[in-house]
Amino acid sequence: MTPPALGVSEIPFDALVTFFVLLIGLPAVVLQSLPAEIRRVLEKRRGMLARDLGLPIVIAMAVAAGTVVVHRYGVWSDGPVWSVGFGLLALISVVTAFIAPRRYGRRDAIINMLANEAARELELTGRLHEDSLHDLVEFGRRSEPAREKLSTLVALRELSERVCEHPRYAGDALTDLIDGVVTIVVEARGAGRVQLVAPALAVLRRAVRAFDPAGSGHIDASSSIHGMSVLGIESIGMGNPAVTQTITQSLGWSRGKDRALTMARSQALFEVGRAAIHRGEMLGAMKVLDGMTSLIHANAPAEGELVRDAIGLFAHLWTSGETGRHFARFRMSQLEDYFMRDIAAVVDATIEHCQLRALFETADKVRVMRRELSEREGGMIEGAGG
Amino acid sequence: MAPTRPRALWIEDGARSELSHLSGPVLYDGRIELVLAEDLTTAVEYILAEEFDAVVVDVRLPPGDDPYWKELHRKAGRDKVHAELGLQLLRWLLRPAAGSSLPGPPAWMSPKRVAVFSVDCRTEILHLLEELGIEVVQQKRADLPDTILRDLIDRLLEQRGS
Repeated sequence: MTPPALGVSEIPFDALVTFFVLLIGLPAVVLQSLPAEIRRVLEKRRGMLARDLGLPIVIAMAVAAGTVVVHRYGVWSDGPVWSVGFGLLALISVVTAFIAPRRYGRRDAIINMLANEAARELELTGRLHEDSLHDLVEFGRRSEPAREKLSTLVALRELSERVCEHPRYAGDALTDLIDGVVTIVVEARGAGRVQLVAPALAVLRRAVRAFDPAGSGHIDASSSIHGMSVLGIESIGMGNPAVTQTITQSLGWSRGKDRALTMARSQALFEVGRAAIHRGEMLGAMKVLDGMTSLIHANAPAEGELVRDAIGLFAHLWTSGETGRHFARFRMSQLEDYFMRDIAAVVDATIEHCQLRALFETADKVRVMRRELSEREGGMIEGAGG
Repeated sequence: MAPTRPRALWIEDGARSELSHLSGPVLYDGRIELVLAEDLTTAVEYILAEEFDAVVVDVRLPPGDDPYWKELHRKAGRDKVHAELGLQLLRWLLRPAAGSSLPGPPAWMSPKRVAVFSVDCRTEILHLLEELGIEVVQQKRADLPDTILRDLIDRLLEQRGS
């Protein structure tokens, strides 16, 4: 049987063109209206975008072609062929209109997508995919509201947890993530900034806790301690002593005796404490000293850099004013018994150490403390020199 | 050499405003190592990681970002006053329910190590605390001395010692 001829005039081009304009135009409009940080992520994933948004167009073209063919061969020549065809096209348009903004227009969807990408080889290798992790960190950095940064940090926290739990984790797979977490908090501005500290700190604490002196390197743990130091110094300007306190207590949170990590912790505490004293945040300084005390207790009899950092911190307190001097004197007397060497020896060693490390300001303050300990404090140090 | 200091965990989200006058006395004398947790997620992390000689808990606490506590908070209308997550924490610590998605509480935990320090000390809360075996309870009031946190911790340490 010869199929009946289909006149071109019988094909409703206007309606078809309207649907295709909608299918092509809608995703374009959605993409154009997205914030810059989302567009940046999607631009790097053009293949995925073309697949996700091109598929409905291909399906719609198949539906339109099928409708023409069915009409051409007269299967439903008198039936509702165009109604069914346009019904399907309308359905595809509605589904696309619903899915495109939901999949690409929401930040949490983008964060989930990037986190899943970053973890795609995790089960196999125990490591995160670097490019995707970088994109996730960049997304967090560039997101404006603190709430969006918070969602990124929570995703990074979950990733870090999974990495630390992995049997092949060797203490060196989180450096980029740790740097990213710290950068997101440091670069944040505005009222919600303080809320970012808790999840960031949780990531850093987790990496330190994952350190196993017998089985893993301490690259991630050292990076985390450095990150805590950066956050601690940054927190002093946030006008919220609780933030400094939570960061500082994480630095003093050590029961192990790993020498490298103890040195990193004491140096970090010294840096945060010095910054706190200089800015007059004495509660933060007291908390730093408390963290240093815990560290010295855990490593007693203490020696080396840990003790020199403690003495340096005492010297900064000592020279901050009369009350600071009393407080330093009081707390130093509590700690003397935990030092391996006598106080005069550790003070002299601290002066020498500070000179060699170009910490002249601290060296000067230790000299002042040494002199006053000898002259005014009833001979805690005999015969002040230097 | 002197023994290592006792360690106290203070779980308190209002600590930002109260930090100076309450934690100052603890930090100044240096007898006690004070650790601060401002939400449930952080508190549980600390409790599971380390042993504390004293734990001072507020009743009204934010959940942090752990899904378990966030869900309880959500069910209470995202209102920390009604959620009373501090009490949920105490139940988990001292009377854990079977089937909870949380890990079990640490073996060192006991009511003698726990004090409640909260503005909310209604009768029903006091009954619950009594059931849990918590004896050290202090309502927050404006006329309390600045040393109240240190005093509470000392009471817990004495209680354990006796």
